[in-house]
Amino acid sequence: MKKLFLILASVLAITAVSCEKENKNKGPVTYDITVQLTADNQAFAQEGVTVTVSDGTSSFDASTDENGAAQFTVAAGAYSATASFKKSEAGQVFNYNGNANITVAKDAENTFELPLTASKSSQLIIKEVYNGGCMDNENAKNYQYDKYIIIYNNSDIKVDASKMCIAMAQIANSKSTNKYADENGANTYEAEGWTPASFGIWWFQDGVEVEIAPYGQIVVSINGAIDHTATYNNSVNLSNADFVMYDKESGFNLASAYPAPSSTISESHYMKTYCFGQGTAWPFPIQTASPFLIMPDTDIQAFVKNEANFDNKSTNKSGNYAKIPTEWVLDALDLWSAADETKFFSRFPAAVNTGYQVFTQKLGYTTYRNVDKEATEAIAENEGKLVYNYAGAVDNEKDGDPSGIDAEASIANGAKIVYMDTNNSANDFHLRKVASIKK
Amino acid sequence: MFRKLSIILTGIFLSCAYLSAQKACVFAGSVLDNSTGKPVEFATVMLEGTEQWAVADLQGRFSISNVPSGKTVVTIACLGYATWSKEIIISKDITNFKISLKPDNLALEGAVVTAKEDGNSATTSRTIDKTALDHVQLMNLADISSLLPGGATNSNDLTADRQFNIRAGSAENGNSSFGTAVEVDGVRLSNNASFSEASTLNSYKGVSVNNIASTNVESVEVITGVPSVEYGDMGSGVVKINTKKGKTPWMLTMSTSPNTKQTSISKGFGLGVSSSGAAKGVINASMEYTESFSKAMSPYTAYNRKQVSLSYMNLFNTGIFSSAPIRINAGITGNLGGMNTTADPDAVQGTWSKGRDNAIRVNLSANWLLSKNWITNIEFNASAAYSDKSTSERTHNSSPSNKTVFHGREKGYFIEEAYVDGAGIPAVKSIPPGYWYNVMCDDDRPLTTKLSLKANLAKHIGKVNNKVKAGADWSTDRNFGIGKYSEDMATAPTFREYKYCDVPTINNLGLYIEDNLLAPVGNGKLNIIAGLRQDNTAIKGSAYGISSSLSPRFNVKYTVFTSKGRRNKTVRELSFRASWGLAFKLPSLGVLYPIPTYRDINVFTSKSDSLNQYFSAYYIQPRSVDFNPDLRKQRNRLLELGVETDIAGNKISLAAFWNRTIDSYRIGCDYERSSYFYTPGTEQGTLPIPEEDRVFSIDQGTGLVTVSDRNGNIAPQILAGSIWRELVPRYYADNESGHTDRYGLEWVIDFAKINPINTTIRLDGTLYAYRSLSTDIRAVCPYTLKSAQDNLPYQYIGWYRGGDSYSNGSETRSLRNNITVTTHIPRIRLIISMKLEASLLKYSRALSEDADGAELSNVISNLNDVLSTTGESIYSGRNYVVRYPEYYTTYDDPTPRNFLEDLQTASGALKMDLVQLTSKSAYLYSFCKDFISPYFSANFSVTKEIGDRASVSFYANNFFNNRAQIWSSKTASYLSTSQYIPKFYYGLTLRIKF
Repeated sequence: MKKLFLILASVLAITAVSCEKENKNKGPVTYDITVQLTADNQAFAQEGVTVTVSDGTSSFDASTDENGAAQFTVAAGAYSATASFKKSEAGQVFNYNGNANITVAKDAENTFELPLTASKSSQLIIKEVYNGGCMDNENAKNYQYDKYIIIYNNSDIKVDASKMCIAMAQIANSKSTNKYADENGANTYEAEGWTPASFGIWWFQDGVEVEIAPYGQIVVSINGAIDHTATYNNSVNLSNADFVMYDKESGFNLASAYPAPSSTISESHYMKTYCFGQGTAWPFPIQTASPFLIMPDTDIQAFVKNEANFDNKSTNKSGNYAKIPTEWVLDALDLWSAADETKFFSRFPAAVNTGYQVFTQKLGYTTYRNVDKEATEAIAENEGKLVYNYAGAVDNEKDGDPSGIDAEASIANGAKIVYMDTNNSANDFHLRKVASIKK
Repeated sequence: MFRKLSIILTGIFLSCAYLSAQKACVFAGSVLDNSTGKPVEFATVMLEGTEQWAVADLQGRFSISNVPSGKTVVTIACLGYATWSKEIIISKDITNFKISLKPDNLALEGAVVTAKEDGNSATTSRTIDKTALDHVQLMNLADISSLLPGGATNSNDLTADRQFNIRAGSAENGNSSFGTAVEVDGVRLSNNASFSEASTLNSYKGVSVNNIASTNVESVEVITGVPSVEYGDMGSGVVKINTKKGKTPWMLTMSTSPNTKQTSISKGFGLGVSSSGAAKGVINASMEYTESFSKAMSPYTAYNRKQVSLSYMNLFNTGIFSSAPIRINAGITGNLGGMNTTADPDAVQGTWSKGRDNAIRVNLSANWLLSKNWITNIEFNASAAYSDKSTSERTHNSSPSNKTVFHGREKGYFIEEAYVDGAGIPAVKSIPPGYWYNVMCDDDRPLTTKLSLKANLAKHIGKVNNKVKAGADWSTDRNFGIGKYSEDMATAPTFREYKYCDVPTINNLGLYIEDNLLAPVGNGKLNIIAGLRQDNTAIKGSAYGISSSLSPRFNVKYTVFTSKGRRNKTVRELSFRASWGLAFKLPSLGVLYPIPTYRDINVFTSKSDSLNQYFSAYYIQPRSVDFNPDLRKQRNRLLELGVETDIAGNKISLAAFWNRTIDSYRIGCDYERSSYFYTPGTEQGTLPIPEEDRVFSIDQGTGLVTVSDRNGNIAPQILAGSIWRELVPRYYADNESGHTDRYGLEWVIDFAKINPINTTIRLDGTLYAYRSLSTDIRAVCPYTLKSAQDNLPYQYIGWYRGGDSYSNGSETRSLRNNITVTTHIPRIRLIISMKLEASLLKYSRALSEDADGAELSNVISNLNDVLSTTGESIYSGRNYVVRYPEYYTTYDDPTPRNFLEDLQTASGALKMDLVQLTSKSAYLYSFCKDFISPYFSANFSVTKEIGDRASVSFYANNFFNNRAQIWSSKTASYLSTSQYIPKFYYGLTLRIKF
């Protein structure tokens, strides 16, 4: 109904204003024309979109009004009308592009539609996961309660991440014993349209603003939002994390995994969860982790307490999986161990992620996202700010960042980084020697 | 009934005492060395029919007076000589009975390297002698099970505790190894007083026998049938280990294998004679050092035993003992050893773990031969076994924030506090961030003592031989350990003081009487043994008080004919036997007084400061029950039928057995309704007191958290909170209400010797079946979960028959058969044996049913289902199954509710909570029968004596290095045999006499 109203309003407006203007100075005769954005054969009411009309030698720009219409005054002739813009919605970036040929003529209706096609890319991505722990100062034991994840806005549009949640898929590390593996070793839930979330899903507290600026990030402490470097030189300082997974009332209350967060972190920045299994800690693996980001279209707190949303393939109280609709998934990372490579089992549907990144635990390594070189260099503001010859990968020769751009150094220079997002963990990530927040 | 039985037995005893009109004779003579003609001193001469005995003096002379006339079997034994035995008739004084004993070596015919059947016993009893022990080179005596019918060889390893397990599998219910009685020279070894070794949850283990020096063992007798009522505190069998006693030359033994090194030296020597000419006795001294590594590649984590044994034996037959000699045996054994990882370079630097296996065993026995009409002899035994099984571990620790540990045993709320020297131990202790080492110890020092007195009366009444014994034994089990402690309380991890030495002592008085009647019936002989034992267990200072139990036991054997005079017959020997009995296993201290557990509930946590330190408060709730008035003694019903025959020289022994374990000990659990005050951390955000000035305290009774201003500028603030309710589990000593059945058939066939090649073939095996069900109703609450309905602690208890697992029992069957081919060539003093161990049937299946066979689990068509709709039997094939509680209750209402009905109607969060009380099997094959395809292993052993001074033994177990795969019908997959047969393993032993 609303769309119908917009269309009628547009037609009336066009009819009212599209008329020939007599050139009193005997110059070319011009006409007022209207270019209306459309999508799916309906008016697309997006204000402020720049529409360009060009005849090859001259071009004219105009912004759309609140109804998605742009006004031009041009001479009769053949033109091409184009528009390109991005729109952020539910943590994803929709790229709209339109291109239409129009002919302006005397006595014609001179109202034109500019159909848009949309493609989407995830605006919120996992930039980095630090989960393998490090060796202690005496190089005697590994320490692992310093895990964190960085959520990144991979677009030039501010994003509201307040409804975003963090989950992990199965922690099973072998296809041979995986009850969801079919005879070909593929997961069986892909065809059913869901992705399993195990043990708990973490969400931001109600009413807390979680806005991430374009090319900005938030650091989420998975364990221990304290300064671990005071005891472990190789570890990281999470006392300044933006958010922390800390919800002792949920049952995740193992003191070593969840020391009291630093007083510098507001209680409102404690992420909450419902533990739908037994255990005193969210068992985020130190090697074969499989984190993913979701943007639910329903109340996640009610969702995880409804038995209908679970796959009750439990053999004990810790084996239940929440069935996350795959369309909710924004981004995912699949980490695997070298020792079990032959038993690799893709824990995500192909639409979410394919491929895996081989991870080595205990050495302070982190899984870091590769830079989308072309997109990053295409940002004009990055001129002179990008730092090349990146050498921070564990294996720069075989498994480094192909872009060669040192993302963290470039960011420090003021550059805006666009990271690779091909939904393939093998292509999109590399192993970095040092956690990015470790200065 | 038992009272009548007692009266009857007592009557038999008394009547035997007075029914005597036989002529008293003297039986005397001398014992000589067959090869040298020299006297054999300290040889024991035994008249088995009358239980009279003598010990040869320095001249080899012996004399027994007051010997009733009649037939008797004379047995003469001495360390280092082959035992001589013969039936004789004593009708008058015999004063010059000369016997020449042959040195026991491979030059003699008839050396046996397997377990020997005791043909005279009315129940199954087998003996493994020194020749067999040397030949297979056992380092751990628990491995003698490989020499029993159908026995399987284990890896020759000492780094893991090993126990005897008679006619049972190691992973079965019923605490079978706990119920196996083990005695070394009459010293009862037991786990009754040990806390560290005895129990894991719901499973009580028998005593480890790793610390018995294998080189000092002369023989091992294994009674697998129904033993005499002399033996109490047992369930299923007795293992009697006899060490060397008597005079021997120096004997040096050196053994090596990839994982083990062993050296021992022993000597038995006489002490000469006193001024009065009486022998001072003989002492046998033995020392052994054995070291065993868990990994040959990294020989640093090692078990070692350093053992010294002294035994003394003497006969007093002069003066007041001239007519009634008394034989004294005394022994003391000390062992120092255990596990130690200190030298392990692979361990974190500065960390180690040690486990002591120190022991002192002392025994004194006296056998006073009175040879009176009313009493033949009196045996007195006193023994003590003291062990130090303490463990200690040095750990490397670190924490980025303060580490919270618990020591409090009192119920209530406690705030985390730093440890201050001299200020007591905080209930909740805070260890500052950083690095530290700590040594934690568990001091476990059990002592078992036993005094026993037994009177024997043996009589010939016409052709009837009757032996009566009556006795009493008094045993105590206590522990001198102080339990867990730390060398540095400032950094000690969580532990609660629980002094084992404060646990009351278990005292047991056993009274028994047994009649052993041997009478000719027809052409054969009938042997009836009937006995009754009463155990009175008293625990001083305990609510358990005194508990009594009666154990009647019967053995009947009818020998249709013996081999005498039947050399040319096809069937040369034939006898049948039957046994039935009850046996009670005393509880251990660990059974009666499980180590208390505590629930430590975090009720408040502050934020971390810039030094990563924070305060937390806990509600501590003790959760052990000290006393279970319904606790019963674990008991076994034993039944055995046997037949022995000799068919054309092939000796066949068959024994069918049934053993039911009832009321086996377990840890029970119930749930206590608990509530506590919880203060959420978010309350701190509104406090007016600056974070750096906050001081937290908690009311120990109410749990209210108060925040004070360190500077006193702002009035103290009480943080808001709420009452949380939780079902807290409590653990207590309990019995299994279901029973465990074991039954089977054992066979041993010793084929007639193939003389041309000096070879004997033995075929032994067992067909064994096991079935166990837990059928009592047990409460299970996943109390650490949070309810989906309100995010508060879970409030439901499921009540399941036999626990909440999809399976409440299992059954197994096995058919094992071994073939041992032994070639013994006395002329060159060589013995070679090859043993093929075969598992021909290995079957198991999980069970889920009640005592009447009604199935407890339900088939679901899809693993995703919660409700069963198929109605199929869980045993019908490959199925997913779900288990529901029989009923459920809630925190508020103990009235049983119908679980299935409520589950069917529930939805959303309620259903999510109820689903937590279901359990499923992840695999389709959970109740499928599992048949493991046959597998084999072959062992090879050779022993060669080099003259009289040396011998060499070599063995190779699994010498074909069988690593074949075997098929499991349950999982439809191949498995490695490595989990069933030992890896290829070999060893060499050199023995030198001088």
